[in-house]
Amino acid sequence: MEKTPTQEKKKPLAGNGSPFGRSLGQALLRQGSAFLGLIILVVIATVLSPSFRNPVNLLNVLLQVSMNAFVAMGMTFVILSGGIDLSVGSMVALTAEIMALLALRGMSWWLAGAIALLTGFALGALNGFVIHRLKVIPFIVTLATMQVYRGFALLVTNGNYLYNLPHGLEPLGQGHVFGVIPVPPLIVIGVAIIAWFVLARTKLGRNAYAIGGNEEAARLAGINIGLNKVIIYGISGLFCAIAAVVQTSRLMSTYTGLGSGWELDAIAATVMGGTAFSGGEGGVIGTLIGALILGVIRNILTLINANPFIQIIVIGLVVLLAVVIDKVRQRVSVQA
Amino acid sequence: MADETILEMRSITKDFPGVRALDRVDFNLQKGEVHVLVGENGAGKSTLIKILSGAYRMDAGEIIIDGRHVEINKPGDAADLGIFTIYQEIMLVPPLTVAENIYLGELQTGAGMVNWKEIHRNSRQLLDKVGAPNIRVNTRLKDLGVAKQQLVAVARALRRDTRILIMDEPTSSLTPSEIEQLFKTIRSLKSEGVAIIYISHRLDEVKQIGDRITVMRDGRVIGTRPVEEADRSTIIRMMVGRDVLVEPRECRTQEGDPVLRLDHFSVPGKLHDINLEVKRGEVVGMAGLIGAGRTELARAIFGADRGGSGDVYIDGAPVHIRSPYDAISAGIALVPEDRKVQGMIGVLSVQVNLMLAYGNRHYRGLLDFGRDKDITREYIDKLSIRTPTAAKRIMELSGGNQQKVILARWLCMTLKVLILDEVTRGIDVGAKAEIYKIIDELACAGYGILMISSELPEILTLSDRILVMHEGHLTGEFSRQDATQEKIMLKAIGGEN
Repeated sequence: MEKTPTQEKKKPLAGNGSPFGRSLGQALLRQGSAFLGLIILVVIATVLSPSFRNPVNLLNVLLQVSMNAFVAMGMTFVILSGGIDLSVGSMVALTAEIMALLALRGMSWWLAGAIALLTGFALGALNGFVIHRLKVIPFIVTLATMQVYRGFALLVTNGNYLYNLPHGLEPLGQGHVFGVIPVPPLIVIGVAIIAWFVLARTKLGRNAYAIGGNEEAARLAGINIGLNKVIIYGISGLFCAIAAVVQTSRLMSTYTGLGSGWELDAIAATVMGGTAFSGGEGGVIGTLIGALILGVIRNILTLINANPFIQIIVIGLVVLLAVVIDKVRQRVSVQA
Repeated sequence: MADETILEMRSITKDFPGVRALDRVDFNLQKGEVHVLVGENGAGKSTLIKILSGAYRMDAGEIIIDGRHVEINKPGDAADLGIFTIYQEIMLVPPLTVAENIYLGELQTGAGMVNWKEIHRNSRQLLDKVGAPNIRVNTRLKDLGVAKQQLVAVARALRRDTRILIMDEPTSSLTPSEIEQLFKTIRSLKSEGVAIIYISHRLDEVKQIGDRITVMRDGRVIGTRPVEEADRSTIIRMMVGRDVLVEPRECRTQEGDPVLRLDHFSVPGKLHDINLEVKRGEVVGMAGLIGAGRTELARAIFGADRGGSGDVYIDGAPVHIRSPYDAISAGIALVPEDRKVQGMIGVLSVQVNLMLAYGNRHYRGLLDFGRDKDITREYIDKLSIRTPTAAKRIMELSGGNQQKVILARWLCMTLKVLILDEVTRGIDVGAKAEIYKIIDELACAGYGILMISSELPEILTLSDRILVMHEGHLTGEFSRQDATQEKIMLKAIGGEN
C-alpha cells in the first residue's frame, strides 16, 4: 500500500451563481433521459426498418400505446404518492363489462359510460380506503383486490364474452379525425393535459407529491392523508375505466380476461418515464414518453419479424435498464 | 500521553461539483488522544473523516500512518489499517441480537456453521471492555435504548484491533448520564492507546473529553489548539468567523394572557394529569430526560397522536383537536423533533416545503403560484434562509437552513402557539444562534412558545419559565431567575428538593 503523494489537480471552482442551476439540471435529468431514450430508439427504429417512419405505422404505434397510456397515467398518481396499484387490469375488465352489460340491457352508451367511470373511481377509492384504514401496504391490498375485482368480472358475465353490443360507441375507439388520425391518442392527449394540470397546479397534486415524498411530514403539515389517498387511488380506477371505455369501443366486445398483465406495462411506463419508485418525484409527461418507448420497442420487434417470445424478454430487460438508470440518477443527484 | 503521532493527513483536497469541500487540510492524531473536530455543517468535517474511512477518495494529498504512506480507497482498506467509524446515525440492524450486530458481516464460521459460542463469548468481552456489562449479548438490538445501541456500536468497532476510532456526534441523542457512561468508555479506550477523532457540536463536551481541538471552516483548518487554551468564545469565533452574541429577551413582556392552557391533560400510559399554561409572548422551556414524555405531550397537543384526554384551551376557549389539521386551525404549530423524518420532504423544493401547511389550509383547489412565490421570498429574506433559489430541493440545504424553512412553514400562517421539539438538534453553532434570535423575535411578536430541548444551556438562555417532566408527570417549574442546571436535573431524574 506504499504510494507516492498524488499531484494536486487544479480544478476551477464553479460559482453558485446560476439561479436555477442544479434544479433545472435535475428536472432535465429526470424527464430528459427518458426523452433522450425515446429519440435514440426512434433513430434505431428508422435504421432497422424503413417502414417504421411510414405515417400509417407511426399512427398505429400511437393507437397501440393509448390503452397503456391511460392506465399508466393513473398509475403515475399512485406511484408519485408512494404507493402502487396492481389491480388496474382487473378494474379495466370489470368496468368494461359493467358498461357492456348495461348497454346490452338497453341503457344509452352515455349513461352506461358514465356509470363505468364512476364505478372505476369507486373501485380505486376502495383500494385507497383500505390501504389507509387498515394500514396495510399498497402492494398487498391491491394484489388482493386484483383477484377480487377479477373474480367479480368473471362472476357478472359467468366468464363469457360480451359481443353484439348495440351500435353508437364506435367513434371513440375506431373513429378518425380528418379521416386519418385515430381518436384514442387524441383522448390520451386530452386526459394527459388534465392529469398534468391536476398534478402541477392543484392542491391535490401537491399533496400527492408531498405524501410520496414523506407521508409523516405531510401529515404533520395538516394534510388529510386518508382523503387524499382515497382520491389518488380513485383516479387510478377512473383512468382504468377510461381505458375500458375506449378499448370496448375499439373491439365492440369485451371479455373477462381484458387488461390482464396491464399493471406491468403501466408500472414500466411510469418508471421509465422518470417517476421515482420511492415516490415524490416525476409526472405524467414522462409517463407518456415511457409508454411511447414501450410501444416503439414492440413495434420495431414486430417490424423486423422478431420472435414474439423475444419481445417479452426484451421488454423485461428494458424495464430493468430503466430502473438501473433511475438508481444512477438518484446517486448523481444525491452527490451533486 | 506519549507524543507519538499515529496518523498524519497532509494537504488533503477534495472537490465536489461546484464546491471545494476540502482545501489542503492538514490534520494529525497522537496515540491515545481524543482529538475533537468542530466546525459548522458544511465545514468539511464529514468529508475529511469519510476520506479517512474510505467512503470517499481524495483528489490530492497524502495520508501517513505510523510513518508510512498509505492508500485508502475503500472502507475495507481503512479497516485493515485499524480505522473504524461510528456514524451519527447508528448503522446496525435492529431486529438482530447484540452479538449478531457486533459481528455483522464477519461471523466466524467453522465448516460453514456459525460458532455462536465463540461469538457470544467475544461479544461479552467487548461489551465489558466498553463498560456495558449490563447489556446481554442475546438481547435484540431494537429492545435497547439509543445509548446502549451506541455502546454496542463502539463494541463492534473494537472487534478488530482498532487503533483509530472516529466518532461522529456520538452524544447527539444521549442523556447526560448516558453521556457520562460514554465518556468513561472513551477514557478507558484512551488509556489503552486508541486514538479518537471526536466530532461534536456540543462545545461544553470538548473540555470534558478532549485533549486537542481542531476547528474547520469552509473546507479549511482554521486552527488546532490544546483544549486548555481554547475557551468557548474563541472556538465559536473560529467556527463562524465572527462573534456570535446570543442575548435574547430584549423586548419581551413578562405578563400576557394565557394563549395555551392544558387542564388535566392525559394520555393513558404516557402522560398523567398535565396542567400547564403558556402566555402570549412567553417562551416556556420543557426539560427532562429522553423518554420523560415531552415529545409525547407535544404530539398529543398537536393531534399527531390519538388518545389525549383533558381540556385544551386556546385564548381561553376550549378546542377539540383530533388531527394536526384541527390543531393548525386552532392556531397551534409543531416543529417536530426529527427534521428529516417528520419535518421536511427532502425531494421537494424549498418553496413547496415552506408553503405546504399554508397551501393546505388556505388554497381551495388550485395553487396560487404568485402567492407561493411572494411568501417564500418574504420568508427566505426574513429568516435569512441561505438557498440559491426557492426551487432548490430542501435536502441539499444545510441543517440550519432546513430548520428555518420548517419554521417559516408555520410563521407564514397566522398562528398563536409554537411547539418546538429539539429545534436546534444537529444544527451548527452559527445557525443555532440565528434560530435563537428568531425564537426571541417570535416571542416579542406575541407567540406563545413551548420549547422542548435536551440542551439545558439552550433552555436556560431562552426560557422565561422552565417546566420539567419525569415519567409522564410534570415534576417541576422554575422561573428564569431560580433555574439552575442542577435544580432542573434533580427534577428530571425524579428527585425531590
